Amino acid sequence: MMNKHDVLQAIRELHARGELSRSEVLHALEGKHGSHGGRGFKITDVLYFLGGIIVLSGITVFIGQHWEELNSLTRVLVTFGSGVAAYAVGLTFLQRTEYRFLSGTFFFLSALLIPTGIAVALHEWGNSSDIVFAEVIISFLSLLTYAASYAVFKKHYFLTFSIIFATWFFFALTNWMTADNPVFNGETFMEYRVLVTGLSYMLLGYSFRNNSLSSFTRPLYTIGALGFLMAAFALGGFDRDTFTLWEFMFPALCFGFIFLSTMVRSNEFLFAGSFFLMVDIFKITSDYFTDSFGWPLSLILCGIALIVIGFVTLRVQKKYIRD
Amino acid sequence: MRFKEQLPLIIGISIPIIVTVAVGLSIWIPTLYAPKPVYDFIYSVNDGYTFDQQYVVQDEHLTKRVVPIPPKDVYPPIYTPILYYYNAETDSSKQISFEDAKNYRLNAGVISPDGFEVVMGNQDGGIFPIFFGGMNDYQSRYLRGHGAAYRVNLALSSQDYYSFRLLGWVLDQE
Repeated sequence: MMNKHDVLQAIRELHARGELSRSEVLHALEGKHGSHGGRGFKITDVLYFLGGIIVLSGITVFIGQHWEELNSLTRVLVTFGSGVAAYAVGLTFLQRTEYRFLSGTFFFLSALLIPTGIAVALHEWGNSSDIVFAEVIISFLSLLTYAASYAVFKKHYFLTFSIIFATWFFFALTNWMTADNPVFNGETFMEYRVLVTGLSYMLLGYSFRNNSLSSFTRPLYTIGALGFLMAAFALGGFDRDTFTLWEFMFPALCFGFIFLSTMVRSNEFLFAGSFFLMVDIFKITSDYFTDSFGWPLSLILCGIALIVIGFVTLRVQKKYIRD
Repeated sequence: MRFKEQLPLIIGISIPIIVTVAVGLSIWIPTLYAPKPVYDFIYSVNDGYTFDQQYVVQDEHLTKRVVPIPPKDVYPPIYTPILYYYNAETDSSKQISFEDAKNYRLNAGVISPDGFEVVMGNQDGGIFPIFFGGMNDYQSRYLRGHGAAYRVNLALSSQDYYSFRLLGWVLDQE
């Protein structure tokens, strides 16, 4: 019989030889204790959500056909009212063990209908010309609703909605603060905000990696890394006559992501870093070398660089990440 | 230890909040130090696609130039540009006649002597589709300079936002 020390030593050795990954240990622990409460993503879940979307489409088409005949109160009732009803049904199902699996679908419907309902109410009774401020109100109220729901029920889908509405609130609020103000360059400001959001997502994903929210880590890493690098790439600009600091830093950022992927054992960072490094090589080649080398030689060099990046990416994945 | 574990979560949530506060400060602080615009200006609104005269500044004075329109290019009605005087102190515009306008000595530069320029707004329309009808405020113009921007009241409607033309900054009246 092995004691605790022996078991841990054996795990360390297997891990060092690359025969056992961190996530396999975590999954084994989850299976044994069932402490995570999260279950695998099943095809039935997809069908429930597809069903929800089809129901919503039906409601949308039906309401759309009769929209002009409805007065303001009815318009708000069929949108906001439906959202509240969907939330209430979800809540009812959540209380009953045998129907709990259906609650997520109804909360999903409510997350679409409640913001739409608030928007319709503001449109009917508020100042519809101030769209930017309307979005601040809609996103804030939706965030409040679903963040409070998460605090009470601790369900993952409430956290998903909260992250989505918090992101929307951030963009809506900063839009409203800078609305129409020409001191802020709209395009650059948007790129910086996407960069910040990407960074925030990656940090959230990292903080969730070892707790019951670990299922959020990979999606947050993926969206965060793609958003961050896409924004940094766009900040570099597309004008071939100007060389910006972001353009200069971008390859280092890509290598940074590849290095980071080995530290946090993330395929998402590795592939995002490698993909954008390839994109940057194409951009730099077409901007600076096609005139001197000519297109055929540039393409050959690009191709070789892509093969090397692809090869190194797979080697890094095999050696350091291998989930 | 617990704090150290939660540090990424705290930073992840704090970053957008810090950015939002920084944006607010970057709008507010320049307004504390930036000077207010003091130069009035004269502008024209053409109010249509076909117009038969133009106003230009020559030798620091407004002059009128007749634009001959070839018959094949005439798309009636033909508009005459309307002149307005913007008062920076009261942030208001009033229509003036050409006879009154030519009495002013004007600086035809893009940037005023006190370092401001008239620019269009920068509004992002937002992403919620229901408000598409009222999303863009095309007639908004700003006086931008010294890191600050001040919205100005101009006599522009959503139909003629594109035909605004700054003619000159008022130096003095003769």
